Amino acid sequence: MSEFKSKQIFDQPLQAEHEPQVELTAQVQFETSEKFVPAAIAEPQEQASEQQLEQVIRPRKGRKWLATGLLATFSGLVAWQSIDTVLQAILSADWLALSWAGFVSVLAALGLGAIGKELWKLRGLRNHFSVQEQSEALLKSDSVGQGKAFCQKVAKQGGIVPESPSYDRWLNGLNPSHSDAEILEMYDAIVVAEQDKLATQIVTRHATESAALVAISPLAVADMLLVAWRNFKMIDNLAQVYGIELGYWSRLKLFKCTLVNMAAAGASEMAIDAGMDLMSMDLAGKLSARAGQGIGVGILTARLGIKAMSLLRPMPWSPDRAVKLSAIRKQIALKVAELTVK
Amino acid sequence: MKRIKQEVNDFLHRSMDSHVRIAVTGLSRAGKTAFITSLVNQLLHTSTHHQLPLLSATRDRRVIGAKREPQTNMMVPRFAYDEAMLQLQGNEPNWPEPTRDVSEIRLALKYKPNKKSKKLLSNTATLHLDIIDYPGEWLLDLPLLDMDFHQWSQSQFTALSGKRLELAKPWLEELDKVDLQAEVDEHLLQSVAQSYTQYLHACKEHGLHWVQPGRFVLPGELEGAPVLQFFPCRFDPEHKAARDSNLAMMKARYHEYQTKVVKAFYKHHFSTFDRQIVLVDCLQPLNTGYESFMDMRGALEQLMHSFRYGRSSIVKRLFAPRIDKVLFAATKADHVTPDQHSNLVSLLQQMVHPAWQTASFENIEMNCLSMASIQATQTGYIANGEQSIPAIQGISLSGEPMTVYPGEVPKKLPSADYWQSKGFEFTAFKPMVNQQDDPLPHIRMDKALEYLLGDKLK
Repeated sequence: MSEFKSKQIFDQPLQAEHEPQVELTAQVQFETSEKFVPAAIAEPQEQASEQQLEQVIRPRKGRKWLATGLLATFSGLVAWQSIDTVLQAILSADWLALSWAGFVSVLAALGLGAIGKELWKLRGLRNHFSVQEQSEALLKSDSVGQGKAFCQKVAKQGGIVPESPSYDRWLNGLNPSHSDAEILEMYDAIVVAEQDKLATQIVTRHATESAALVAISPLAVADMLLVAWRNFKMIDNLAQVYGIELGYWSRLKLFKCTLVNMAAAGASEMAIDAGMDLMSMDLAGKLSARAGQGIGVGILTARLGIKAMSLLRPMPWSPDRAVKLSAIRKQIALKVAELTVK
Repeated sequence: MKRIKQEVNDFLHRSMDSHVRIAVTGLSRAGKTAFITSLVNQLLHTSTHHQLPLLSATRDRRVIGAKREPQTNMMVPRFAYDEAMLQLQGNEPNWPEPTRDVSEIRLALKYKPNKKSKKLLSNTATLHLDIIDYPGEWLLDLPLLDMDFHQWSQSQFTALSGKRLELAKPWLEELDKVDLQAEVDEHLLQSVAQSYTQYLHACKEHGLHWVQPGRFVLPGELEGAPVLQFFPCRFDPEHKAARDSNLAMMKARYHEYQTKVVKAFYKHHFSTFDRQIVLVDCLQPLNTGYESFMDMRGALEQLMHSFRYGRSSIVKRLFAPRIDKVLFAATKADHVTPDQHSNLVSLLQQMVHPAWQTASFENIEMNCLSMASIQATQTGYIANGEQSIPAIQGISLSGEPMTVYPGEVPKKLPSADYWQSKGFEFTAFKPMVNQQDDPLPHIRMDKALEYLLGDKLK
């Protein structure tokens, strides 16, 4: 009877790396002949709202076959129709119609190309979300041997050059006895933290900018447009920092996700922050109503920026390293005070 | 005058939360000395090396440096750090000598604080660290503080089962010859106490850890003193012993041992800790057997009763310090392959389960991890045909180089029959050869430090 793998002594030399395809985590532990299958215990369900939120933030793979089928049928019919038209035109020697058809098809090709590109980028975004999920899973497990390869992949995707000092520092800190969770934690604290710093600067800049613009501009419509413009720009810049390419749709989707997320998740956070927020609003209110409005918008932009950051990061925030709104709020108030109080 | 100044200084440090006393707890051979040596070594190297990536303060480059400070307690020997390093850094490195007496070391750690309240005063802050080393055997005496002679005797007799009973036979035979009510016979008592001591030594040799009183096996300066010549007796507590009977003498000696030896040790070194790390060597009892594992488990639980736990506040920190964070660490994680570390931790959880329950009542933070204070092996893989098998490479205690897959660590302790058919065989290794000025190699020392000191370095 031997339940556990026993000691083995080797004569071969020790290798530092192993082939990643061999799964080392699988262990044959017990005799299958006397297999005992314990009854599955239903785990208490997580709060439904949390799960819904997850789905809003990270869209699940839905029933894609329906959409694909419809699209395929539609494009098939269109193709058939156009070939038919062209044939008709050639047969009846209607050169004008033929030229029109050619012109329209060039337009259509351009449009299709654009849509394809967008879809491709959307795929990239979905892939990014799956990276986030994977890193979450790795952080929770106590596995060994997958963390380094995973982080290297993430770094490659995020456009981090191997020579960058933070990446180098992370690589040098590694030790074969580190577990995956530890490797990811170190990657998060050393490499991603650098990106976070840059991203925080961007958020601060855009938030103060939009706060200042709103504080100065007298028109409500201009306010809204300005905010929308600055917010889009901010999300774009953030995506660049984390090395994710966003298309128009994905950006919009992220924007929408972020808005919905803000509405849902922000409610609880707002309750916590409300005290502090109200205080700075109050402080600003004394300066002037417009400055107050500006600060309000600035804070919202900053909140959006922070949410976008948490969606764009390759790993979830660790609680003590998460960027706090309070850090940005102070700068917004300072900037607006600078502009309005002369 | 100097003493008062020192006390005031200490008081100030404690009120500023810049003084931590770490209790390094563990039974004998658990690796306390190696842990302290490595801890001092790692911290002293923080200014020049970046070998602690999991300690957030060093990872963020906030630790400026560390140095050794003269200790406050002049009566306690200095921890033999240099001697231990000499052992570890020679051409043929060896483990530091096992501790035979209490010793102390004090470190000052200078860092850039993150907290605003600390930044207000100065750009840098200093954390003073007190670490105490002592023989693990003596620790087992602490439960004696709550027991009178009768209770203690009872507990010793109830423990006599299985292997213990077998080992205790010669002593029990001699014990039967003693007439407790008779007049004191020094010679007889001495010889019985000697055979009791031999029984305790035999227990240790057979991998049993719960050995009381601890000074019997490691007497220190008390060698041969009559205070170490008593043994558990069977008697009726209601029945009053005559003044000059053997029993009265036993009771007197036990009482003396309790007050003069154990209480003094406890008062001087054990009543004022802030953080605790409990080092457990899970592999050694696996090698020995089921009984040894359960024995160690019981001993650890006994130990936990002797410490004061509880949430710390500023007032408590000043006047009645208590431990608010406990870390259980499975040492010698370098003796198994990294994929077994999680199993080692889950085995450790089983080992400390009763101790955990004892301490958890006080609502303090606790955690388990696997670590190696001084890494003695290299990890890697062996290509074996299609597969690659994880393996470790090191030099065994007998001096031969070895590349080995040490076997699987069980997630849960197998039943007692397992050892009858097939046991475990984890090889012990010598430390690796290390460059003179490099920090000692380690596994998860930084994580342990983060847990113990991380919040004090904020």
